[in-house]
Amino acid sequence: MTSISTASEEQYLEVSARFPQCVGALAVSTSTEAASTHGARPFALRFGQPRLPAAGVAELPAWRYCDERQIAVGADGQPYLAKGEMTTTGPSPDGQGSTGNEEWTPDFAGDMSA
Amino acid sequence: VTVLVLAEEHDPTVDRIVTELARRDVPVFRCNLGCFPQRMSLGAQLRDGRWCGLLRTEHRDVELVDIRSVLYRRPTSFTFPESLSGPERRHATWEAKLGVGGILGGIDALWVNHPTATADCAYKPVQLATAERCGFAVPPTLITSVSDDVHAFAAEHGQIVVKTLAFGAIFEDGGSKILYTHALTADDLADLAGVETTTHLFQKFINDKAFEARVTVVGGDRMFAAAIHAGSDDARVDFRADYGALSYRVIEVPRQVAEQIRMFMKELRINYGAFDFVVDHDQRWWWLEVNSGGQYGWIEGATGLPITAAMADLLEKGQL
Repeated sequence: MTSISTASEEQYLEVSARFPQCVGALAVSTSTEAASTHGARPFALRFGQPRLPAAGVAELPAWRYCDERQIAVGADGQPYLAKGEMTTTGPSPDGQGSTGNEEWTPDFAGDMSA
Repeated sequence: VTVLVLAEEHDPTVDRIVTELARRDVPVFRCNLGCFPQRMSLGAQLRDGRWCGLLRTEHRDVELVDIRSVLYRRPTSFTFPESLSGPERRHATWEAKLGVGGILGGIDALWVNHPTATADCAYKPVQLATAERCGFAVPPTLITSVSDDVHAFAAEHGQIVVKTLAFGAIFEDGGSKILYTHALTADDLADLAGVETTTHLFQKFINDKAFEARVTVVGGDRMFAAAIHAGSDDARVDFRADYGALSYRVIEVPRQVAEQIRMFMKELRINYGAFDFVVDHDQRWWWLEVNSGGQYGWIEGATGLPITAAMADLLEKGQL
């Protein structure tokens, strides 16, 4: 079966597809599709390691965006950063919870929402 | 004058910078493009070759001509009402991409980094070729979909690794897997099925590694370098595989490497970058990659390097 890329996934379009670059976290963070068969599956995926919470890795604490201060704050209204969460949370060394961090997503991702 | 921050609402790296700018009483307008059009609006008119108008949220607004600098760090895409059909959503997305994107992308300000430059930088083959032209030592690299190429490459270079060109994770089967750099074994080389499915990046593994170096560069001239020492086998191949086994120390960037970094940043038009190197026992710095939107809070926290202050300096000043 041939799959067809949407125009927005093509990075060498004549018109710029580069603003914005990232997708919402949910657009790439969930799938129930199973792996394909040996041979069809890309070689590099053979070495994927299940994402497991590492020892000492903190759960992402509850947060909300404070429109006044323009930063994330915890449930108590204090800055998220003040809680000392600028540490590895598994997917992110800076304490970010979504896929929008340097570890697991490229700087440029085709806009898959289009 | 205002610093425009385009980023997700939950981004601790950006929070650090916004907090520092606020401490300095520098006006900041932060928004995520995902807020457009439901929680953010943009209206602008063309006047004398510039777009003039307002970017507005419920809580604040900013005149486009008052924007001195822009921090662009992975904002998410526009979010449209659920009531739109698929074709309507695609139409609306493209109109916004070229409308909002075109106006914001044309703001005459210091960008950290402009999305077009970031997009160029995200292509590892572009990075690698640019790095070599700038004089960096780049490990022998093969990008291929041909198994025979891999066998020949391994025969020539000995221990090789495979790493991804794009995403470092795959989400499937209801879960996710992390794709660290992997050192190929003899068994791996005996069965290269799947190489033909897409391009793969193979690289000679620098066996003589003394440590890795993360150089966070702000504005081209301010370089913050830390040695990353791996304390486990996994971390020696890919330090992300075992953060708990890492230790850090502040180091100096050799003058020649610093000059090459400046040349690279000028070539790819970036004003911020998180550069990764392997340093061998002969003190040779081997290029690995640059992340033009890299997080730095973890390394700042571990070393005390004043990267946030440097970012705030750059954005406040609005020029290199």
